[in-house]
Amino acid sequence: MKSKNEFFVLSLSLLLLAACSPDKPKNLPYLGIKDVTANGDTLFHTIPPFAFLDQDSALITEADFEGKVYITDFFFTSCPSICPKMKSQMIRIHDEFLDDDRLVLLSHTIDPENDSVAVLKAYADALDIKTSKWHMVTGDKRAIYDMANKYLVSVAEDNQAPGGFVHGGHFILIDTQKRIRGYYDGTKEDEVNQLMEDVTFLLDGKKGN
Amino acid sequence: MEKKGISLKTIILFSWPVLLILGLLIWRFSSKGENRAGKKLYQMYCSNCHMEKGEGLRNLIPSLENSSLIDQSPEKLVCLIRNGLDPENPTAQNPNIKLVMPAHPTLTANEITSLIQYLQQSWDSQKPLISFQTVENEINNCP
Ligand code: HEC
Repeated sequence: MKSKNEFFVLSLSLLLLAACSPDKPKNLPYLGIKDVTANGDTLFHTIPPFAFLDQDSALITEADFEGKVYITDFFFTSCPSICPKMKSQMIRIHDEFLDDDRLVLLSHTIDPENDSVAVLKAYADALDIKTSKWHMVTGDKRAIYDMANKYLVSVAEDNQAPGGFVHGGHFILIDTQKRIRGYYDGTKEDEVNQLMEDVTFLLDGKKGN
Repeated sequence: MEKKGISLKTIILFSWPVLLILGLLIWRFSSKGENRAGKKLYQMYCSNCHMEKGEGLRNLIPSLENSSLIDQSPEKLVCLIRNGLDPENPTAQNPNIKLVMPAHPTLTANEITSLIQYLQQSWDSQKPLISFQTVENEINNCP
């Protein structure tokens, strides 16, 4: 667990480094531990296969994100602290890219015992979102927490925390090759503006606006 | 004038920063009517859900802009803020979702007064600003 946190700090510092040179020709970092193959190619950290159920009971796997850029986060529906803010920011992205099929959103519940498909459905309905654009998924708890580790974020159960879980409010940007390209504070409007600019960069190879 | 110690020019040169600071101080403290305490409490305890400008979140969290409670019966806000709503309460607008208005039992009568006054000031209540006395009475009679 500890080394994973160090991982995360490492990726964040990389991100900070990247943020310090705003006017360089734009490029996004590849985050996570890299490997080098025998013939010298760099292997980037990639997101492994997964299978969860979304708010419409559809099985969602990595295949649904084939060739797409996606943004993912971890939340739970009864979360009283930062989740409403994160969701209001994610809604901005949802609306902005509603008709652009090249970007998809994926929110994992970290409280699958309470957040059944029916609960996620009610939540998604209350937010008035399009399922094909924004999948809210539930599934086996171990599998979800394992995926959080693969995305290099930490989530945990903690009955001292508001709502019983702790998690950072990160939005994680994944490119078409399943590589992690950025972390953004999902509660902050300006960071989410940056995220949308970076999405446009990944999709079109240039800065937004 | 020239021979005296302090010339008019010097006075003008050195007085403007003093005037500027004085002006800033007067401006800062004369922005009365702004309820800083209430605003701070709102940002601390409410804006996570109801958002900075009270717009709420679609059908998940009600907007405070058109709340009839703030508009017509601010005294009813006292126990709502103190006790929140019961997650099992069938009147909750999304019975499936356990995200409800939380209780705030540690807020004092004083704080609740500032907070409700802030809500009234921000979202145009038809009623006069709630008094500390009313808040205290309501608290004593909360369920
Ligand atoms: C965890 C999220 C959350 C927090 C924090 C929160 N609320 Fe609420 N609030 C709600 C929800 C959800 C409802 C709707 C309850 C229902 O009807 O199901 C609500 C309802 C209300 C209403 C009633 C609106 C109407 O007219 O029907 C008011 C007023 C209100 N909240 C004020 C506040 C104030 C003031 C604070 C800060 C002390 C606060 N809320 C903190 C979630 C929250």
